[in-house]
Amino acid sequence: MKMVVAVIRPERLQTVKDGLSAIGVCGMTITHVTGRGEQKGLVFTTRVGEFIVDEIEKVKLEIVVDDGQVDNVVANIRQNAETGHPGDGRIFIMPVLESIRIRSEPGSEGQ
Amino acid sequence: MSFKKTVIIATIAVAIVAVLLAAVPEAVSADTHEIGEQSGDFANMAWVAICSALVFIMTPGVALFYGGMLRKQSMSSIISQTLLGMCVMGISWFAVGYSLAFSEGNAIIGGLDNVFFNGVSASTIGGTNAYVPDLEFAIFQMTFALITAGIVLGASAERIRYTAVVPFLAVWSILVYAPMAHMVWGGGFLADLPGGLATLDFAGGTVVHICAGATGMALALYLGKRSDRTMKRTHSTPMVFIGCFLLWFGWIGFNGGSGLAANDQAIRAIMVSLIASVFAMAAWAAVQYLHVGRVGVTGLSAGAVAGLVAITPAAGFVSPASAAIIGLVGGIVCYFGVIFMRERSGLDDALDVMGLHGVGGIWGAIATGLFAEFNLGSAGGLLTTGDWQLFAGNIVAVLVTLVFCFVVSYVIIWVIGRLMRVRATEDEELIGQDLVENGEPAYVM
Repeated sequence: MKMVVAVIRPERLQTVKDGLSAIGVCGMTITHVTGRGEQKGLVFTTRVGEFIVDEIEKVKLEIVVDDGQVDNVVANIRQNAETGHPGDGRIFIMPVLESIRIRSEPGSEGQ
Repeated sequence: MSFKKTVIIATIAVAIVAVLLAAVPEAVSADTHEIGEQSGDFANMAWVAICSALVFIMTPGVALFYGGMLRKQSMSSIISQTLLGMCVMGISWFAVGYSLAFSEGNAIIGGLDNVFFNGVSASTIGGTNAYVPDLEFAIFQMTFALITAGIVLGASAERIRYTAVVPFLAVWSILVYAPMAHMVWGGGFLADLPGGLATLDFAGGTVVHICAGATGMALALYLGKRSDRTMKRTHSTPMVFIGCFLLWFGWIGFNGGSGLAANDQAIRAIMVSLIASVFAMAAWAAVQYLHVGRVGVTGLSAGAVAGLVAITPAAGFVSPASAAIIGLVGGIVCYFGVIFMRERSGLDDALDVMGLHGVGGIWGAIATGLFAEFNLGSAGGLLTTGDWQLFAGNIVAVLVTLVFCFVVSYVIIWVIGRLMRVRATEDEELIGQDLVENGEPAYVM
């Protein structure tokens, strides 16, 4: 199992969710976050000089999927989150040791 | 904006005003008396002072009402734009606005006799009206100028640059708001149409609401749509609720004070305002429930405002039963007005200034022509007295207001657009104007 962590634009969230549910991936954790990327934020000019906004709003998705699904999920997120502008975000993939369901109904352990 | 450009704008504005003033007739002597000489003077003065305070609170109310319906990145921005609007309109009203609206002038605009409130008496009654001193009338009317500017800013929200708001409203207050107030209330041609046509606008259906709607449309057309890469959604329904209730509360003074006297007309105006607003809210809720299946704070608030807008021009003239009909129809036409402006018009009227205030104001003017029956100085309503002159006259007034405010506002923003950057860039929109222009996010998290 792998965890796919995607940091995307907030306005693409609905599209990405729709795309993922179309390929059968429904479970995810969504967090509203701020941060900066390789461009070090956005530079604006005022009358007295420049300033940088380096806490740009993003949405972080955490999705745990089987190893075989990872490429499919990543391709799907990239397709739906991309706008072509700097700041489209990043995707990180990390291993998951175990996935345990909290509700203890007989015969429903594991994923 | 460079000093040179400022001089050019000022010169153009002065030139236009000078042309409009070309034919100023001689002032006529009015029947005046000192305050206190007639019974009821102090009661009228106290009532209008209270109403001025009530209308004054509508402007911060509209900032919260609008701010709640925007993204959380635009909350400080709309509040500071509204404050700046109060600044500009207040200074303009003191300097020339009142004079251009209410001193003796021609059919379009008043004269310059009362600039800086020069010669506006606080102790004599009988200048512009029969009930309160002119200076108190100027206070009451000043709050109307402030709220109109506040309403306009809803159409351009989230993309007009903060610095462009100042020159726009400064010129707009002179070339659009003051002539509108003069044409309707200051003795201009809409108060005295040829051919026996009559017009009635009790508390500002044309001057405030249709004017704000048409100006908002001109701004939305010039500025274009907000970036489709930003989310457009209500960020705080409690804020919408507080704003709506400050508007509603203030509207009691807006309509109740517009007769300028503590009399039967004021009582009737308050009663019909409350009736129209609750009926409009009910109608909006019913239509929205049938259309989308659920109703919430935003819809109910918009419904109440729709009813208040619709009853504004009619408030002093109609019966409570007519007010119920005006409210019901107002809620329904404004609902579809908002839907039309959002989905079909091709304009990004961010906070439904035309859909709500414009459409509601138009229906209100037509309804006044249908239902007016009390305190009439001229012809009455088509359905209540059978006179057609008021119905036709009010339609003429609506058309004149729409065309005049839209065209002049568009020209103003177009000229300013040649001199400075009036539109936020896409990057600025994405980060939000709170941070980019004001440097103070409304919510730190």
